[in-house]
Amino acid sequence: MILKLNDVTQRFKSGQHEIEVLSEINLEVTSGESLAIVGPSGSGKTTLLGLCAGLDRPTLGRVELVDKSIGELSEDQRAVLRRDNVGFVFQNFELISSLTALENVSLPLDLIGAKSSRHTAMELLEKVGLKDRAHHYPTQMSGGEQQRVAIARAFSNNPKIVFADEPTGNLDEETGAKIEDILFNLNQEKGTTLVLVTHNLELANKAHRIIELKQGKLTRDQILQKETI
Amino acid sequence: MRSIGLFKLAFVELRHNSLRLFVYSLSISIGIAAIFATGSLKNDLITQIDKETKELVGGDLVVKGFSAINDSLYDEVLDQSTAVAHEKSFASMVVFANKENTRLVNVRAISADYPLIGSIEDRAGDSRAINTQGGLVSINESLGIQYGLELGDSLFIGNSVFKVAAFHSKAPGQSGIAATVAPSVFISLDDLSGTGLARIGSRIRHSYYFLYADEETTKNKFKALEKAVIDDGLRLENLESGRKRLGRSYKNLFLFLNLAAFIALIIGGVGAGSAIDLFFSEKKKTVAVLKCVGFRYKEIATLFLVQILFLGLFGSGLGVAIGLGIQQALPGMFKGVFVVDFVQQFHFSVFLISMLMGVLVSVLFGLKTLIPLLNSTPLMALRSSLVNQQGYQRINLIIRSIQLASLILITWYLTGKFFIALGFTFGLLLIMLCLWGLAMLLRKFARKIVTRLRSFELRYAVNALYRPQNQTVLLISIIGLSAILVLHLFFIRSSLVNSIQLLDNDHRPNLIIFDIDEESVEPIASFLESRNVSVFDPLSIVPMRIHRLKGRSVFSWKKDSTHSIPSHVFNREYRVTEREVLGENESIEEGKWKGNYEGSGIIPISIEENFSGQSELSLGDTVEFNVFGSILKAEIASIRKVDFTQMQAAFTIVFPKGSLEGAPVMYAVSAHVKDKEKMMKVQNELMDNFKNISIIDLDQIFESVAELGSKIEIAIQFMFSFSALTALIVLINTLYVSRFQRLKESAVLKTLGAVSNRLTRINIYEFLILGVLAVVAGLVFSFVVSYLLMTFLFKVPFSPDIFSAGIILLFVLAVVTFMGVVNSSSLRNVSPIRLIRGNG
Repeated sequence: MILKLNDVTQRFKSGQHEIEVLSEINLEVTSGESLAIVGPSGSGKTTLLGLCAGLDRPTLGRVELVDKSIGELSEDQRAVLRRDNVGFVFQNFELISSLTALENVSLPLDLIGAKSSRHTAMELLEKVGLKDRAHHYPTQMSGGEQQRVAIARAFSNNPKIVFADEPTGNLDEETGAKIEDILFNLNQEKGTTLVLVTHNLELANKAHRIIELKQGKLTRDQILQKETI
Repeated sequence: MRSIGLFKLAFVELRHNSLRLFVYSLSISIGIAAIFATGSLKNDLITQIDKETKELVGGDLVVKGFSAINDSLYDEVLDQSTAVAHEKSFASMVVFANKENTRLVNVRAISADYPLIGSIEDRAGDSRAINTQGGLVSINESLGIQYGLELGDSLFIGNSVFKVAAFHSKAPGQSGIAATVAPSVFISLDDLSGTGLARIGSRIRHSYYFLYADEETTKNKFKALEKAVIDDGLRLENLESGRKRLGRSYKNLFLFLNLAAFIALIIGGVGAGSAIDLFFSEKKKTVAVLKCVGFRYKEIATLFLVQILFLGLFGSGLGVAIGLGIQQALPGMFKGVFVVDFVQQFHFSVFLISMLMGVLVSVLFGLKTLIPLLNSTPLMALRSSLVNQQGYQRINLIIRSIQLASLILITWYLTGKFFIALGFTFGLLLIMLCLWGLAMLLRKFARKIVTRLRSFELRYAVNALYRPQNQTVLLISIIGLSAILVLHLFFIRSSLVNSIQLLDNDHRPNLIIFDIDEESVEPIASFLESRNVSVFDPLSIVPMRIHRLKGRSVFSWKKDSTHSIPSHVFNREYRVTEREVLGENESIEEGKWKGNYEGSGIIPISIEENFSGQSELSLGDTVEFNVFGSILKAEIASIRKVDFTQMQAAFTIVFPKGSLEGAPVMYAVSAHVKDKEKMMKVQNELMDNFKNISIIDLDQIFESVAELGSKIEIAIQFMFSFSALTALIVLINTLYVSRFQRLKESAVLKTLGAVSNRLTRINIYEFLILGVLAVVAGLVFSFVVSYLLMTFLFKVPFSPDIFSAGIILLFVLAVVTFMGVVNSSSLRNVSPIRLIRGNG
C-alpha cells in the first residue's frame, strides 16, 4: 500500500467560523494504481490531493504515504519524503521562469544530487517530444509544451507516486488529450502510482479507479480497469 | 459623477497596494529630500548674505588690492565719507611663547575704526583693546583651543611680542575655510611696522573701508571712481558687487550639491519607474476588462494618471518632510564652510519646485509604461497573450525623447548653465549605459562560471538573477553607480595623498623662508646647513607690474573692449625670478630657453603656457614691466609648461640670470627638514636669529589643507549617500515586486522536496552574487573614472586606497546580503499547499 488514509478530516478557519472541507475519508491506494478524484467545485478534491501528497497535515485522522505518517513529520521531513518519492503536475504548470525546460526537468534530480541529471532530463524531454525545446524558457513555450515539461519534471526523479492537479484544466481539448496520453503512457512505462484530480470525466475514465467527493465526503469508489493494475 | 467614480476607483486600487506603492514613492522621496534640503540651504544662505552683505563687505565702498592706494585717489574716495577704516592682511607664521609651536596665520592689522559695520565677536577678552593699547593681539578662538592659549599668553609675530587680549569667534568677512588653513590674528595697524613684516615686496593685501551719508553719495562715488581705482590696479567694491562676489564664491559648491541630489533623484526615478512598470504590467488585464465593460481610453488614462500623480505627490511630500529634517542637519555638516551663520527657514518656492520635480519625475518614468498599457485591446481580457505592439515603438521613442529633454531642462534649472546640463545629462546617461552593458556581461559571465559548479544552490541562485521581476541589471547598475560615487572619491583622495607623500623626500622642500634680504641669504643657508638641513638654491623674487604689452600701454589695453585679455593680467602684481636653468617641474614648449643675460638690450624672458594663452603673448612679443618706477623691457623668448602639482616653486615669468641686478630683490630659501620636532626647533631658531624673515611650514599647510579636504569630503559623502540610500530602496522595491514570484518558486521547490535551509541558502547566495556583481561593476568603473581623472585632470599617479575601498565594498555586499537574509525568512516558511489552492 503506497497511500493510506484513515478517518481523515480537514477543517479550515474562515474568520470566526470553522469549515469542514473533508470528513472522515478512508482510502487505500496500491502501488502502480491510477486513481482519479472527481467531484464538483468545492467538494474537497484539491484538499484531499494536498493531504495525500504530504503538502499539508490532516486536522484529524492519519495519512500514510510510502509507509510514513504525514502528520508525524515536520515540514522539512515531508519535503524530503516528497523529494524521494513524489512527482507533481500542476494545473498552472508551475515551471520556474528563469530556468530552461531542461533545467526545470532536472530540478528534482538536482535536489537529490544526482550526477547525470542533465542526461536523464534530456531523455525525458525526448519522451514528451520536446528535445528540440530543451534550452527554451517557459515564456517561450505554449501552454501544452509547458505542461509536457512539467510532466517530464514530475517523472524525472523516478517517483513512486505522481500527483496531478487538473493537469489539462488550462489547456484546449486537443492539447489536453495529448497531455493525457503522455501522462498515462509515462505512468505506465515507469510503473508509477498516479493520483489525479480532474473535472474532466474523459480523463478520469482513463484511470484504473475513480473516487468521487461531494461536500467533503467520499460518495463513490469505483474500479474501472482492475485487470491492468 | 463618472469622474468621481474614476477617482474613487483609482484610490481603491492605491489603497489595496498601499505598502508596495509606499516603497515606490520612497524611491523618489530620497532624491526630493536632497533637492529640497540643498535648495533650502542655498536660499537660507542667500537670505543671510542679503541680510549681512553690508557687514560682510565692511563698508559702503571698499578699495582692495595688493598695493597701497595712491594719495590723490585716497583723498578722492575719502571726500564726503563719514567714517573710514584700514586693514592690511598677510600670511605669516606666529611662534607661541613656549616656542614649541608655530602656526601659519592670517595677520590682520586693523585701524581703530575697524570694522565700520558689525563687530568682532569675542568669546573671551576684548578685541577692541588691541587699538587702545599697543602689543596686544586678538586670536581666532579655535587657534587658542588648538594650542591651549589663555588670555595674557605671549606670541611672536615677526620681530614683535604680543600678548593675547581676546579670543574672537567671528569677524567680518572671515570664512571657516580660510580659518582652517590660516586662522585670523588681529593686531593694531600701528603695531605692524614693528613686526618688520611689512616691507617692500611683502605680499600684503590692503583694504580701505568707507562709509557715506546716503546711498546717493555712495552710488555717485562708485560711478565716478571705479575706473580710476581699476586703473590703479585695485578693486572697488560696493554692496551690490560684494553680494555678487559672495554668492559667486558658493556657486560651485551648490552646483555640486544640486547635481549630487539630482543623481539621487534620477536613480530613484529609474527605480520607481521600473517598479511602476512591473506594477502596471500586472494591470494589462484590468485595462482590457475596463475596456470590455465600456471605459473609454481617456477615462482609463485618467485612472492611471491619477495614480501616478498621487504617487509623485506622495513621494515628493514625503521627500520634503525628510528634506526638512536634513535641512536642519546640513549647516552642521558644512560648519565653518560659509561666511555666515544662518537660520533655517521654510522656503515656499523651494517646496513648490521640489514637489513639481517629484511629480514630473514620477510622470516621466511612469508614462513609459502607461502608454503601451492603454494601447492594450479588450481582447486581452480573454487572451492575455495578445499584446498590441502597433505604434508602441514610436510612442516609446517619443516618451524617451520627452524624458531626455526634461532631464536636460531640470539639470539646466539646477546648474543654471545649459552646456553643463547637457554634458552632465549625457555623461550620466553614458555611465548608466556602460554600467548596464557591464551588468549584462557580468550576469552572463556569472551564469557561465557558476553553471559549471556542482552546488545546486549556487547554480539556482545565479539562474534566479534572470528572473524578470528581479530587475537584476537595473539593480547592479544603480548599486554600482552608488559604489562609483563613493569609491572614486576615496581613490582620488588616496592618489593625491600618496602623490604628496611620494614628494616628501630629501629632494623636495618642506620649509620656505622668504622676505630675506640679500645680506641674509648666505647666513641663513649656512645656519641651516649647520643643523644638517638640506638647503636648496635660493630664489630671487622681484615684484613688478605690466606697463606695456606688445607695445601698447596698459591704459590703452584697458580702454579697448575688442580683445579678450582678462583685466587681472594688467592689474596683478607679478612675482618673478631670475634663473640660469629650468626647474625640474618645467619644460620648454616653444622657443628657446635663455638662462643668461649679457647686460644690454631687450631681456629674453620665459612665460608659462597658460599665461601665454591668457595674455595673448607669443614668441617675439614684447612686454614692459614697471619695477618700483623703473621700466624693464622684455621679449618672449620661450614658453614653458609648468607642473604646478609638484611641490616646487613655480613662476609665471622667469627672467634670465643677471637681468634683475639693481632691482629691489627679496630672496626665498627652501629647505627640507626631516622630522616634526626638528622642524619646530629650526623654525624657532630661525625666528630668533633672523628677525625680518617669514617662514612657511609646508607640512603644516598640507595638514591644514588635508583637514579642510576631509571636511569637504564628509559633506560630499553625505550627498552621495542619498544615491546609496535610494539604491537600497530600489532594492527593497525589487524585493516587493518579486516577492510574489519568489514565494511561488519557493513553494514549487518545497513541493519538489527542497528543505527550508536549502531555500535560505539559495536566497542568500542570490543576493550575495547580486552584491558581488554590483560591487565588481562599481569597482571596475570607479577604477576607470578615477584613473582617467588622476591621469588627465590631476596628472598624478593613480594609487587607489584598496583597503578603504575593500571595506566600503564589503559593507555594500553585507547590506545586499542582509536584505537576502531578511527576505529568506518569509520564503522558508512558505507552505507548498498554496500552489494547488490557486493562491500560489
